Amino acid sequence: MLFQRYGPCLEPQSSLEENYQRTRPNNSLRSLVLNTRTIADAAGSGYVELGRTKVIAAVYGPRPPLRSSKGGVENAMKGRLTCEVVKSAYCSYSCESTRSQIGKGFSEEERLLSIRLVRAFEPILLLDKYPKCSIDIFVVLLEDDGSAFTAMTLATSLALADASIELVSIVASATVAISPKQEYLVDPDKTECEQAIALITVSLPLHATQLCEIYHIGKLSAEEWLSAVQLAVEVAQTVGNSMCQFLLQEMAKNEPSNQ
Amino acid sequence: MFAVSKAEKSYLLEAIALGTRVDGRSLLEYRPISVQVGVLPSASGSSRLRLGETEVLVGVKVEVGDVAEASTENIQIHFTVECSGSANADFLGREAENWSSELQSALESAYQAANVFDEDRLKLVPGKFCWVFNVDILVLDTGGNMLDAISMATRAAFSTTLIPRVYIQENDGVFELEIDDNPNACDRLHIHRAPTFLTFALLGNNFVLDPSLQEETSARGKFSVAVDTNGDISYVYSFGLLDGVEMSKLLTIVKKTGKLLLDRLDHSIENDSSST
Amino acid sequence: MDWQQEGMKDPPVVQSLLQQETSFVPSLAKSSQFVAPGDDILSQESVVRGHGTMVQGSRLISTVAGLVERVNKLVAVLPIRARYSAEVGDVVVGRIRDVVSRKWKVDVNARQDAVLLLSAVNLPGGVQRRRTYEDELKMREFFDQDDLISAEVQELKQDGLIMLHTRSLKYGKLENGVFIAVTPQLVKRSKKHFHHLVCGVDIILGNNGYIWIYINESTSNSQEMKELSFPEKQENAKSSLNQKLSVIRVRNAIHILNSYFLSIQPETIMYIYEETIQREIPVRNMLRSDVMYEIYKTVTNTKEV
Repeated sequence: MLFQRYGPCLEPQSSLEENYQRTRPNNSLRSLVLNTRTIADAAGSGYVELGRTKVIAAVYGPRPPLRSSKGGVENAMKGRLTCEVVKSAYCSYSCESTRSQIGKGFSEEERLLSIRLVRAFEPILLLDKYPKCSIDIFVVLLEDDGSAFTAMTLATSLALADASIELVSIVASATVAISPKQEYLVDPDKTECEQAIALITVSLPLHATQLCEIYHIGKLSAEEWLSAVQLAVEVAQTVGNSMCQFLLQEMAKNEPSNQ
Repeated sequence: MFAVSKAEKSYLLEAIALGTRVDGRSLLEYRPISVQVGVLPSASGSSRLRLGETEVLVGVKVEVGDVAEASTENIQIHFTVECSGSANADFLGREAENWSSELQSALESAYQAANVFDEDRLKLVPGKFCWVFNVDILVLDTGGNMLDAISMATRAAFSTTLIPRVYIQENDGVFELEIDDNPNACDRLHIHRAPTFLTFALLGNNFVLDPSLQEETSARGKFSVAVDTNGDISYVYSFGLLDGVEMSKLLTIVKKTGKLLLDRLDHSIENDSSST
Repeated sequence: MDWQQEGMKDPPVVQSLLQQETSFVPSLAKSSQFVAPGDDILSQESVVRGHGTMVQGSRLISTVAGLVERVNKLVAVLPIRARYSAEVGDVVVGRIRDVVSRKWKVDVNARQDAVLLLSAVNLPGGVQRRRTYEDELKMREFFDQDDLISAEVQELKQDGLIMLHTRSLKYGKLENGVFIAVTPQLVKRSKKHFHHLVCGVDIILGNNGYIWIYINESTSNSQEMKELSFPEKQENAKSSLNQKLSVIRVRNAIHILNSYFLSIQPETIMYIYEETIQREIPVRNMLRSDVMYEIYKTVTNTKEV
């Protein structure tokens, strides 16, 4: 049984799931850690921890595009936004390495997450201001303990703000899970995500009354769905406000007069 | 890439603001849909569906597969979407992969969430064997709104899928499956819970249902919902700035149109299968 | 459902009896002999072989599916559906594919992208002068990527490269309308390619099968009225909706002609236009396959009598 003690199967997931008990109130977030300038080389970077979910995002650009695409960005009047999401090999607790296919490029999941990030941020970025440029976002999911897309959106948002790229607004995000007991769980962790009958992620520009991304899986009636969205929007706004505060603090810290 | 000039786009938006689209449809109108079922003799169920210029071919193959001990699932559904280069020159390389994996994951999530075929009569040996449905989708022609076309075609293909009768024998914990030799001893699937997607394109301040390729290219966002006959939602994906008020408006449209669409689809499937 | 109607999209059997000028049968289909690739082309000795033919031993065979055309001693096979092959003087509608140094690359549905040189466009203000570096920088302001333009074929190079020019007021960027692409063989070469239809809609029938349908602000009497009061504004919106509906009706008429391989000319377009109005078919139903088939049947019947 030695391998079991040191292996990742130390606590089998299934037994965890059975006795799972949410330790915080349904409507509260896990501890949120925000940071910027985590990567020295990038134009801007952001780090977000949502409980044990950890994400680093780095923004490079605006810069001349590395690969010229079919559309010919060199001449385009609008900038281009690209995004690459990578899940680290140790981001989840399963025995098999997610990187079993190293060298084969990106997994399907990573590609989908990349597309979603690009689409969520495209209307937020003022791409008209960066003609012939490429803005490249690289996101690394260090550890996945549920609500990963929310953490990724927050980190990207921080990174873009850190890189001083012109945005319509800070983008906030929140995930809400609906448990089998019909409870609305804010910011679910991995177990809650797996058990949930419905999972909804909402991203929105903080200073507008609009949403820029909704992703929902799970069977719900239209009314239930709308109330879940409503809840997610409220949570996202709280998260967004604390992000704004954090950015202001950071700026105050780095103000030349304080140094 | 499909190209739309600025002049075309502004004309399109002007027309939509006045309540008509450049192909003459009203804002919440589908293009003509024609469907044919049972087109592939090698598949357990199949359909060919045309939505305007979009055309897809769907085949369902049924087999018995192994499942992990702990799992309780009776059914596994695997979707593969193949966008061949013959349908569109853009379907080469990475672009095509993104395209098909997005469609695949949307369908898979919607079908899983809707628990489409969770029935007792489809139970084999829990924790040992389950039914595996392999849904192979081939895109024959692209004319916009692929997701809706594929979901309707999938529903049509499932409606004609026949499941062979299987007898289970247990000998000291070893299970043996025997498939009925009689080719007519088959069961049909109940598809009343199978969802269909409704996709809206966000154009200006308006929404149009069933966007054409030109409308998709000009759109600033998209709103896709998987809905079943009861109006229950099993999948939503939206991007592009969207107002909360507009969203609830869209949902009422979805509920109404979804039911209508599914009823008409079932009706035409019935017509087609009785005529062949 | 109505799958079986699918077959009607194929070109119908050509009725070679038709001789009228405004025939629905495309002009190329009026000669008689169809050939498939590899078929013998029956001909007297000493012919000049043209496009779409090949000599194999002592036989003259066709290399494309199409119609045999004989002009004196020249024998050629015209393909029924093919990409556009340009001739000098053709009016074309094209889409800018790329802007490169001192020239635009234009998609005209031909084998190669056509080229429009910076020196082949009229500068704003109509001045004739050498093109400066400043003009080169402003090229995207004239025509940007994806823009649609109308132009004339100026020259054909040895390797098939098409050179365009827009050195006339009637050519240039296309605005305020819709675009539709059809089989190029359905558009006949004629003296006139800019037409003003009776219904108040203008069309440009590009020889290359690209068609632009638009409202010409200068010819239509709806002069822009500034400072409108509210009811007038409403009136204006209504008239612009009607204008748009006629544009769409014309577009859908062309679509019907194209799907049944019927000749596309102002007369045929208007015929279908009038027919749908007479039958009170709303624009939105025009592209339903049963409606399309009904119209097609009446059209061919009346013309055959």
